[in-house]
Amino acid sequence: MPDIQTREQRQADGVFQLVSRVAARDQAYKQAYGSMAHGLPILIRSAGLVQAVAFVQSRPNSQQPQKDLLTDLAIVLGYPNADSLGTASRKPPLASYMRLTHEALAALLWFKRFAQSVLHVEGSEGEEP
Amino acid sequence: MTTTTRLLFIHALSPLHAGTGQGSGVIDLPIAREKATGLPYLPGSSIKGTLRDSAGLSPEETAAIFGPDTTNAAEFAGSVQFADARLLLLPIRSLGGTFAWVSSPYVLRRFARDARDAGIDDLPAPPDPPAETCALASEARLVIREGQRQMVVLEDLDLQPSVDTDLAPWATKLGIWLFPDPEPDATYWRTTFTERLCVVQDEVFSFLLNTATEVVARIKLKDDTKTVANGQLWYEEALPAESILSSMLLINPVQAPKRKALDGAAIEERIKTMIQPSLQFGGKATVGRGVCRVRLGGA
Amino acid sequence: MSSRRDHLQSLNKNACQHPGLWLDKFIPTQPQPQQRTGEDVETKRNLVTDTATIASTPAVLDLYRCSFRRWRDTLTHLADTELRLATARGRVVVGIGNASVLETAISLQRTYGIPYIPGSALKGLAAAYARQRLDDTWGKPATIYDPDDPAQQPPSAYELLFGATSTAGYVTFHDALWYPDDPAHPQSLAADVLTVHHQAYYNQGGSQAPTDWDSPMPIPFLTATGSFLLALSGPPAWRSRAFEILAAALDQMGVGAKTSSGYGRMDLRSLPPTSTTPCGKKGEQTAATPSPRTIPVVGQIITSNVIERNTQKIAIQVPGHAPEHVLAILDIQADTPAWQPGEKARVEVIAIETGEQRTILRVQRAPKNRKS
Repeated sequence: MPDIQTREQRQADGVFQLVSRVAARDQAYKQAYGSMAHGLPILIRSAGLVQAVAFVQSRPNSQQPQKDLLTDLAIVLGYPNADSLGTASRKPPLASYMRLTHEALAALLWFKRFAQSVLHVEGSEGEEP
Repeated sequence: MTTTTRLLFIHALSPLHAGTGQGSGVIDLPIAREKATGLPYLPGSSIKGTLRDSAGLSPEETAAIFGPDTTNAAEFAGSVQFADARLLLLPIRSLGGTFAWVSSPYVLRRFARDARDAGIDDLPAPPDPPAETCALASEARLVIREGQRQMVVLEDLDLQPSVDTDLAPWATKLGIWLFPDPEPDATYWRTTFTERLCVVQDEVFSFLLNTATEVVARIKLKDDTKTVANGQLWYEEALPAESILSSMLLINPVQAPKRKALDGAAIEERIKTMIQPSLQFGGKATVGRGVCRVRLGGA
Repeated sequence: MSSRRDHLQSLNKNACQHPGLWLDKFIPTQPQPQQRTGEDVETKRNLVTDTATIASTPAVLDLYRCSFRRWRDTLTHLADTELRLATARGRVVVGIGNASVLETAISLQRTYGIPYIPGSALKGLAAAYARQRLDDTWGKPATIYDPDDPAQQPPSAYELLFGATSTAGYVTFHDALWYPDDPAHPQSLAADVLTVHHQAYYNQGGSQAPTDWDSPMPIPFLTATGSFLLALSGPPAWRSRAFEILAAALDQMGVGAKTSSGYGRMDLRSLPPTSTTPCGKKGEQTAATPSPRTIPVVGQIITSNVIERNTQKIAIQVPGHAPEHVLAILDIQADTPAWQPGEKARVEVIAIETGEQRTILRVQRAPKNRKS
C-alpha cells in the first residue's frame, strides 16, 4: 500500500521538522518537551484524547514546552492550533473520535522516536510508585 | 486413534502480561498480539509449559501426557496439544455495571469455528451491531439513561444498546463453561456474566484493544542508589483482571514404547485436576501477574 | 472549558458505577490557566469526592465483594501461599505519579476501580528496606550474581529473594486488594488535601509532567483507607522472612507516597475467616428496593425497549431497572404501534403500582408532541 506509506513518511517528516526546531532550545526546554512526547500517549490512553488535550491546554505558562508539544501535535494532525484539535475531539460522531485518537497516538510515536534520537530524551523521570 | 477436542478457557484473576510484543511503540513492554488481527494471545507452548510444570504427576504420567522432557524430545511426541489462547472477552470499564465483558463479531465467529471442532454446532451466528451501537444479552446493568437517551458508556465511548436474542445462547453456553456448578457462587457469576456481555463492532473492539488494556508505570531504579527512589519511568502493558482467553486442547493418546499408557478420558481427567485451583501464565510472575482460572468446555 | 465529549457532557456521578473510570475520564472541565483559582480547586474537590462516593455505592461494592471472595479463595488454595491482612494506620496513597488529569493519581484496580497496592510496590518496598536497613546478608551485594560466570560468588540472600538480572526471585508478591469485609473500615477511598509550594519542581527543568504542582493552592487528591489482603507465595522459609521484612518496612518506612508525612504505615495481622453469605444476596435486596426518585413518575415520558408482546399487553423495560423489579406494562389499544421485542417504544406513565416483589408502571403511547 504505497499510498499509506507515503502518508506515514510525510507525517514522520513533518514531526521531524518540528522536533528539530526544538533541538536548538536549552536543555530544560528539550527535557520538558521530550518527556511530554513520552508521557502524552500514556495520558491519552488513561484519560482519553479529549481530556488529555484539555489538560495540557490548561497548563500554566511555566509549562510552555509541554503546551508547545501539543500545538505541534495539532499541526501534524492538520489543525491550526491545540484549541481546534480540542474542539474536534469533543464533536460526534464516535467514529471520528476514535480515528482522531488513533492518528494522535500514531503521530506521537514519531514524536517519541525523535525525542529519543534528536533530543536525546529517553523517558520521563518519576518517583517510585 | 481418536482425537478429543476441548475448548480451554483462561480467565485472568490478576493482570496478565501475555507474551512480549515488540517494544517499539508508545508502551515500552507491550503484550504479544497476532500480526494479522492485532488480537492479544498467549502461545500454546506456554500453556503446555505451565501445565507440565504444575502437574504434580508421576514422571511416567507426565511423560505419557506431555511427551518426554526436551533432551529426549525425538523419542515420542506427547498426547496433548494446545492451540494459542486468543483473547475472547476484554473487560472494559463501563459507567453502568462497573465493567462489561466485550467481544466483537469477528472474535466470536472465530471462536464458533473452534467450538464446532469441539463438537458444539448450535451456537447461532453472533450479532453484528451497526456502527455506534452495541448488542447486549441483558439491559439490566450496563445501560444508563441520560434524559430521553439510553446508552452504554464504555471508557469515554457512548454506544446505543439493543438486546439481541441471538446473544442469549452465547451467554448461557459461555457462562456454563466459565462458571460451572458446583463452584462457589457459580449462579451469581453466570448472571453477572450475562448482564455484562457486550458485543461491539470490530472497529470499536480494535480501538479498545489498542487503548483500553491496562498500562502501569514502573520505575527503573538506578543501580547505585541506596536511598533515592527516583528513576526512569517505563510502561508495561497487561490484559486486565477478568480478561478471558480461549484456546483448544487436543488429546491424542500416544502409546510410547515401554511407557505407561493413558487413554483419552484418563488424560482429560488428569488435566482437569491439574488446572485446579489456578495457574500462572505470562511474564512478571514475581509481582503477581497472570494468576488465572482455567476451565474446559465441550459438547 | 469543557473537557468531555459533547455526548457525555451532562452526565453526573449518579450514572457511574466505576470509580476509576469517573476519575480518569469524566472531569467536567479543565479550567484555563488564568482561572486557576478557587473554581479549579472546587472542580477537583468535586471529582475526588464523587469518586470516593462512587466507590462506596452498594452496586459497586457488591460486585467487588464477590470478585474479592473469589480472589481470596483462589489464593487460599494456591500452593505455598500465605495470606495476611495489612491495615492502614492512617491513609495510603500508592501510584501518585500515574498518568492522570489530576496532578496526583492513585492506583485503582483497573476492572473494579477499587484501590489496591500493586505487588511491584510491595516488592520494591521490601527490597528497599533490605538494602537500606539490613546487614550484608540481606542487603544488596556489591557485585551482581551472574549464573553464566563460574568465577562469581553464589547469589546473596537478597538476590535469591528479590531476583537478579537473570533470575526470578523466590518469592511472589501478589497485588494487595482492598479488603471489603472489615466493618471498622467500610470505605476504601477518602478525599484529602495537599497544600504545597512546589516552585522547586519547576526549577528542575519542568521534567515532572504531568505530575506538577506550581500553585500554592490546595490540591485535592484521593487516598486509600482500611485494610488490604497481602499474599506472598514461595518456599516457607523464604516466605516468612519476606513477611518479616515487609512487616518491618510497612511499620517503619510505609508504602507509596508522602511517607515522610506519615502516610503508608500499615500493621500486619492474621486474616479473619471468610464470610459465608453467598454472593448476590445483598445485591438483590438492594435492587429490590430501588430509591423512589429513580423510578419515573406519573406523566413522565420514557423511551425504552420492548421486552415482550402478546395479544393484549406489551412489556417494556424501565431504564436503569431490572425487569424483575420494575417493569412498564402497556395495554394494547387500536392505535398502539406494532412495537416488537427489541424495538424502542416511547410511552407515558399513567399509573404506578408498587408491589412487594415488583413495581409495575402502567403506560400508554406517548402523545406525539410532548417532551418529558
